[in-house]
Amino acid sequence: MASVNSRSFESLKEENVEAGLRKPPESTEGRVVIDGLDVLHFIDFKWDAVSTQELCGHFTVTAKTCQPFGVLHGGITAFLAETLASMGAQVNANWARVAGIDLNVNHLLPVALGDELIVKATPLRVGKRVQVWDVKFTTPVKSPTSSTASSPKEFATTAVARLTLLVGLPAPEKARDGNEKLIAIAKAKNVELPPDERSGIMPSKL
Amino acid sequence: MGGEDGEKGDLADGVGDGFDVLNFIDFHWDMVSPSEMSGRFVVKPKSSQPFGVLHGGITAFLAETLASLGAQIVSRWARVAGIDLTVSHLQSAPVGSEVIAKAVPLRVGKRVQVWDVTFTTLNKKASSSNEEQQFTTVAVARLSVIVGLPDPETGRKGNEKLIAIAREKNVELFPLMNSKL
Repeated sequence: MASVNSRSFESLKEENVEAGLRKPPESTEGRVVIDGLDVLHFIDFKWDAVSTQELCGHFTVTAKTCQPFGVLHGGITAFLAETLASMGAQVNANWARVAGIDLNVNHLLPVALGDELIVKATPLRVGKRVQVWDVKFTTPVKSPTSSTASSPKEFATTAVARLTLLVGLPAPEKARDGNEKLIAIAKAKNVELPPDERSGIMPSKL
Repeated sequence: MGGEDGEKGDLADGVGDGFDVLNFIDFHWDMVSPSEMSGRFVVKPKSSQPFGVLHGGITAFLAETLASLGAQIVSRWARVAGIDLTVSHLQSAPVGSEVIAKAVPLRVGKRVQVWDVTFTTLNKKASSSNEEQQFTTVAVARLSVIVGLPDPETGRKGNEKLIAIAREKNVELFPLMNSKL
């Protein structure tokens, strides 16, 4: 199979991919693992789904992520919008390099300390050169008659965001770690993403 | 009362001072004043994305933070809320480069403020050859902020920190009111 960088393709054999995933993030000497997930770990973000059609997760607002007025920091919203949309674009672009160029976030409602925030990114447009992703932030609405059995069905939209990305730029070797992590997260949710081989095969399973 | 809490904010009431992520990315303040909020940081693996360049979300986060804090200062510690953020990423900033963030007010009104934030980095090619430094713009952002909402007590800790940082840069900000109005 033809690939852009034959050296990287050969190193992506089954056994190498497995070993890479088994290694804990900070153990390898001399190798700086940049997977772009550092700040996500910092805010205790949990993934719900990773696929070509949507990327979503949730987290609880804690002191780390709120601003002095006791509500979620708007910059965290912006950061999450950029992160999820960019990762979604990367998955859809067959692991080619993507670059976000224009982010727009509208903050609609405050999210108080202790509340749960659900983040969902979906593609509005997936093109060969440009992608546009929509990100929606919702929180469960606490009803006065909240029953213990059923989960809250009503959600309030706290923020909406849109990110425009350029795709099709040559993908460098260093993005591999983050891509492998995304493939692993998707696998955990029973979604099979195409492997990072840059062979030009479009994802057909999804 | 806040007082001197040291680097880590007192989290007894569960509310931070809003500087957690700023400390996480090792952000250093250059200026805190009603006309300019600026600082700098070096792009490190923890603030970068998988391609070895500055994470665009960090840019967005900083834009929101600097502009919001600036709006708060200008509005004399009233509660402010950012409603519309737009960020245009123009160039990448690789790991190891220093990024300077600067927020200035475009409009300061009674109900609405608009702040402009610019992110620049030193152009390496130019600085090695001649004396004057050339800066390339990495990103530009704009935040609309509504002001004049009732000010809660919880903002106090962060506000006191801001007053302290401004004082270090020889800027005297409007003092905090001691009693609730």
